[in-house]
Amino acid sequence: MWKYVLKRLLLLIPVMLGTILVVFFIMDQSDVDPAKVMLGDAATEETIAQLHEELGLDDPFLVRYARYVLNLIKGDMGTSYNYHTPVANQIAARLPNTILLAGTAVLLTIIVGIPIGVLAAKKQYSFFDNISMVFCLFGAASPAFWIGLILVLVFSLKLPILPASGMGKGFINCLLSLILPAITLSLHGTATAARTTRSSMLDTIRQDYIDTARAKGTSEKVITRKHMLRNALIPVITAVGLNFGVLLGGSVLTETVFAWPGIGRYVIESIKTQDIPSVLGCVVTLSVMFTIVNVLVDILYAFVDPRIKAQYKRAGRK
Amino acid sequence: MSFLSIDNLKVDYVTDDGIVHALNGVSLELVQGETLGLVGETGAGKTTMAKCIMGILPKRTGKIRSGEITFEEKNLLKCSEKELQSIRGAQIAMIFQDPMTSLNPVLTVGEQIAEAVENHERCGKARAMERAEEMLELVGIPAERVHEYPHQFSGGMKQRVVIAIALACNPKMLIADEPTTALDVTIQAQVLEMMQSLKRQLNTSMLLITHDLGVVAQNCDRVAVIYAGEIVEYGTVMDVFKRMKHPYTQGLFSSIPQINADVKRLNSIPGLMLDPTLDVEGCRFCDRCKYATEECRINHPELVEIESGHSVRCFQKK
Repeated sequence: MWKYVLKRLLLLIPVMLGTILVVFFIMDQSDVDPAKVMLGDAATEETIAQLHEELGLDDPFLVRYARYVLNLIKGDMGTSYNYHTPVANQIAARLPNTILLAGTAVLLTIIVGIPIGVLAAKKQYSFFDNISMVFCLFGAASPAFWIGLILVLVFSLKLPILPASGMGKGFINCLLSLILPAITLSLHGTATAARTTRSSMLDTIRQDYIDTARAKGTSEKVITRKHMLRNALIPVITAVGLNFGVLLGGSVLTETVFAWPGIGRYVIESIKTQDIPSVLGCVVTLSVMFTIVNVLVDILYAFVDPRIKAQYKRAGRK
Repeated sequence: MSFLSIDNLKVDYVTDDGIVHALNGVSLELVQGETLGLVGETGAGKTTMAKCIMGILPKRTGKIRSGEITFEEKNLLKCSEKELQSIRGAQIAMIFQDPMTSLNPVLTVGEQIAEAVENHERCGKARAMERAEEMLELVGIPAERVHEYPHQFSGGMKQRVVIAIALACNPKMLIADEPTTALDVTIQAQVLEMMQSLKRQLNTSMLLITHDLGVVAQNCDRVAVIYAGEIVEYGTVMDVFKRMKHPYTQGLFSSIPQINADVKRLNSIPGLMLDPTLDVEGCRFCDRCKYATEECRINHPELVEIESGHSVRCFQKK
C-alpha cells in the first residue's frame, strides 16, 4: 500500500507544474508592469528598462516559467514588491495562522457535524432531526462574511466577551480570538458534514449486516458505533477533506472580516497592491496544500475501508 | 412439549402507501430438536415472522398488532430490549438470506464471529477470537483466514461465516432465512449438509425458511405452508408432501417440473398473491382457487386438523 501512496505523492509533481503554469500564465496576462510597481512614481523610462533587464522580465514566457520553477525548488518565491522581503518568508510567517484557523474549523466540523448527523439519522423524522436539518440548511446557505459580521455584532459589540478582530498574543488570548472566526469558517462545513453523515447513516441503517449484528445480541450503542458509523464515514471523510482543502484557501473572506493575519488576507492585500510574486507564491502554496490534503484523504479511506486498502495494494503492485 | 410457540401473531407494516398486513394471525409450534420448514412465495410473510421472533422488526414501520411468541415459557414480545439482547445470538440465532450483504464489509470475519461470543460469554477478546477460529474450522474454513475481510471470501464461504456467527454460542434454536437461495446448487448442497450435521452435533432446533420444496423434503421434520400472511397447511413432511390438501400446496407441487416429462411451459398457479394492503373477508386464496365457492368468498376458513398433526385452512378439504 505504501507503494501506492508513494505513487500518489510522485504524481503531485506534474500536478503542481501544471497548476503553476496556469497561474503563471494568468498573472502574465495582466497588464501590470512589475518594474513600474517596484519603482513607484519616481520611475523613468531608463530605470524601468534597466530593471526589466535585471529581472529578466523581457525574456520569453517559458524561460521565465522555467526560472520560476527552478527558484521554487530552491525555496525562492521571489521578492515581494511591496515589502521588499522574500515572499517565502512572508508566507512562512502567515501560513501557520491559516492552518491554525482552518484546522480549528475542521475540528469543529467533525465534533459538531458528525454527531448531529448520527443523531438525526437515528431519530429520523423526530423533532431533533427536523431542527438540525433546518440548521444545516441555514448553515449551508449563509455566506461567511455575513455570519462573521453578525457574530461580531453579537459577541463583540452587544456582549463584549470576545475580540472582534486580530489574533491575540499568548495562548488564552489567541484561543479567544480564534473562536469567532473558527465558528464562521466551520459553519458551512458543519452543515454539509451533518447532512452527509445523516444520509449516509440512513443508508447504512437499512443494511442487512445491521440485522446480523442485532441478531447476535449486540447492543444498539455498539451497533451505532462499530457497525454503522464506520461504514457511513466514507462519504463524510470526502466531504470534510474537500472542505478542509477549501478552507485553507477559502478563508480569504473570513480572514478579511476578522483581520486574521493569515495567507488569505495576504493574497487580497497583494492583489490590491499588484504584488505579483506574492500572489503567485500564495496561490502556489495553497494549491500544494490542497493537493496534499486530497492525497491524505485518499490514504485515510484505506484505514476506514479494507476494500479500498485492497485496491490500493493492487494499484501499488501494477 | 413445544419449545417455541407462536400464537395468533398479527403484524402490519405502516407505510406511506397504506397499511400492509404482513402476518394475519399466524400460529405455529416448534418441537425441540426438530426442523420446521416454512414454505411460501415472496411476500408471504416468512422473513417478517423470523424478524418478529428475533425482535428485530423495523421499529418505525413494523407494528405487532396481537399475538404471543412463547420461547421456553417466556413471551418474547413482552421482553425488554435488554432481555432480548441476551436471548438473541445465545438462545435463538438467525442466518440471513443474502450472504453478500449480511456481513459488515469493514470488520474482519474473526471480529464478527468473536463479537457474538463476547456479547454472551464472559471471556476476553483473545478467548473470543480463539472461539472464532474454532468456529471457522467447524464450518470448513481454515482458521488462519480469521483476519480476512468479507470481500476476500466467495459467496459460499461468506454464508459459512454467517452460519459460524449464528452457531458461535451454541443456540438452542436456529432460524435460517433462505440460507441457500443466493448460492449455486453444489454449494447449496454443501451448506445444507453442513447445517444438518452441526444441528445434530449441537442438538439445535431449526426453523428453515425457504421456497425450495426440495430443501424442505431433505431437511425438515415438519412443514408449514404460508400464504398471504397465513398458515394454510401444516403437518409432517409426509403429510404435506404425500397427502397435501390445500389447493395452494397442490399448486406449489404441480409447479415443480418433472424430470421425465417433456414440457414447454411450467405449470403455474393463475393470478397473483393478494394485495397485502387489502382487508379480506373470505379466504385469501379464493381468487386463485379452482375449487372456490360462494362460502369461500364470504367466510374466512380456520386452520382445521384433518388428521393427527395435519391441519389445513380450507372449506373444501375437510
